[in-house]
Amino acid sequence: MIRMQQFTYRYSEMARPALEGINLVIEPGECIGLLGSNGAGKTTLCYAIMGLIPHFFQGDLTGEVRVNNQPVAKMDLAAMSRQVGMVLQNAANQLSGTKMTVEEEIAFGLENFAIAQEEMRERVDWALEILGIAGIRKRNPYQLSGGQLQRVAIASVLVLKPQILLLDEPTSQLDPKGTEEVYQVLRQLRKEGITILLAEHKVEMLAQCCTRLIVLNEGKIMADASPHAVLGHPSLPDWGVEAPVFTQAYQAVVQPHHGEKVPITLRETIERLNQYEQAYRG
Amino acid sequence: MNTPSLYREQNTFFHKRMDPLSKLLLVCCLFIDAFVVPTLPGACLLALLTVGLLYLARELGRAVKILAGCALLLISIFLIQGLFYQNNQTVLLQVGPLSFYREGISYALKISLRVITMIAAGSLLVLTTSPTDLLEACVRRGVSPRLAYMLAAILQIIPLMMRNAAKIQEAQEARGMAVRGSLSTRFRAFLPLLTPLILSSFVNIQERSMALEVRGFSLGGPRTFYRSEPVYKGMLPVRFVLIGSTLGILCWRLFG
Ligand SMILES: Nc1ncnc2c1ncn2[C@@H]1O[C@H](COP(=O)(O)OP(=O)(O)O)[C@@H](O)[C@H]1O
Ligand SMILES: [Mg+2]
Repeated sequence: MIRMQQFTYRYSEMARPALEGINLVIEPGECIGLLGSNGAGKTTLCYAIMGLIPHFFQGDLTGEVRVNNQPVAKMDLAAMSRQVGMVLQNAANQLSGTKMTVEEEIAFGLENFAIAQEEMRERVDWALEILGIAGIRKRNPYQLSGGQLQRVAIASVLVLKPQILLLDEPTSQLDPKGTEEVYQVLRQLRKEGITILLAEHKVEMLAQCCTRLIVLNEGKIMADASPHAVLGHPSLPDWGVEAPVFTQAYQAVVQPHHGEKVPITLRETIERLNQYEQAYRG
Repeated sequence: MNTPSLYREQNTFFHKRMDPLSKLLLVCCLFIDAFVVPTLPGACLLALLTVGLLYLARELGRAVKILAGCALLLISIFLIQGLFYQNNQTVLLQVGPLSFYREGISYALKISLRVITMIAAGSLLVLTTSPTDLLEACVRRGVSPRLAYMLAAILQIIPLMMRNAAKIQEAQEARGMAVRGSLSTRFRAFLPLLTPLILSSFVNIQERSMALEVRGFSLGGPRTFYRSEPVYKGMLPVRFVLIGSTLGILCWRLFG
């Protein structure tokens, strides 16, 4: 469980806080989408939960972050990494740079934690399997496609078996096929009961996959509710976020009254438009 | 995109049957020998020996390219020593107002041979050893992972820069800059490359070190290894010969 209380943080060389007055509780097994324009504070929020703030970044901090009821500020980063895994925005930077094959790259964290070789092999096999990359285990990690690289990066974090996984724009450099590959993995991880926090611009994907959405704007939480409530909210554009195109199309055609539950996925939209058409004809 | 490493898999004694630490020892011995061997024929022999080893490792071609990259250093040694060596007496060559002396040139030859030996020896290690193997071998022997990682990172700087240079050069070419052709065109194209090259090499360091942190890299204490250590046979005598011959040369220099 993650709990943030009145959390405010300012990077030392910045004038304004990157996060301000954040209150947040995330229960085990939730899959949460984090929305917001560039500079809204999504990455910073991930850093705070991971403990990179305050262990890696200096700055002014008030309030508290707790993971599994322990204050992050008092734990060391290595110990944190067995509870929380973070996949950085640029997957290439996640590589250790010392391994010549995918499987060794994935095992890097386990080596650091001195996991016995036998267990290490089992866990690497598990991670390869769950990410669907067993076929490339002997390949050079620097010769992979974007989607493959991203999945290797996720595997390299997942192999430490964290209960919580933070992903910072995991598909920002991927084409639609690579994006779909990553989301398939995320759906699988949800089934495994892993708590997921996902910073992402592709609202269509979040609408399909998340149980809850949080909107950040200029370091503050603007909304924290179900995908339907957030994506149908009239102030969404003011927070620098666009609703899925389906939702926008529905709103333009049907002009729903205030507070009506709008469709947020393609399937829902087709259903609702059919209903609408029938009602109109009848 | 390739792993930033000059290592290339091949099937020679140096690639397959000599363990990384013995290779490291070989390089150290060649470095020491290069420094203590006093005479010009000795230095020449040592350089030939090293080049011979590179030939046996089938990496002479790429090593020559690395040596060519150091040509500027070698040329400047000849210029400086040929003109200004303190024991210069006999004029060998007169170019306008400049006199090149025999003593300086022969001294420069000796230094150059030393430099060539050292660069060739270093190339032998880097070209025939996977950085992972070298790093793991060191960490297994108790070298701190942090130190080993730093050394590996240094070995990767050159190939990383080469890779980035190629990428940036492509981009510049696409924007219509002349980057190929005569030596002077190439040199003029190289200068504007330097800034983006150095910047791009350093810009990701923070993120990369963060990624290492969250994978437990800075954890002290023992480590395990995913791969079992490869077994190399018959390396003990090789190490003995290497250490013995170097000690021999040292003694000969000190007491002979
Ligand atoms: N390493 C850093 N040092 C200083 N300021 C930073 C750093 N990273 C982000 N910021 C600042 O913090 C704010 C939030 O940034 P960030 O969390 O990266 O937003 P997002 O991930 O939503 O794009 C921005 O104003 C940004 O300029
Ligand atoms: Mg970000």
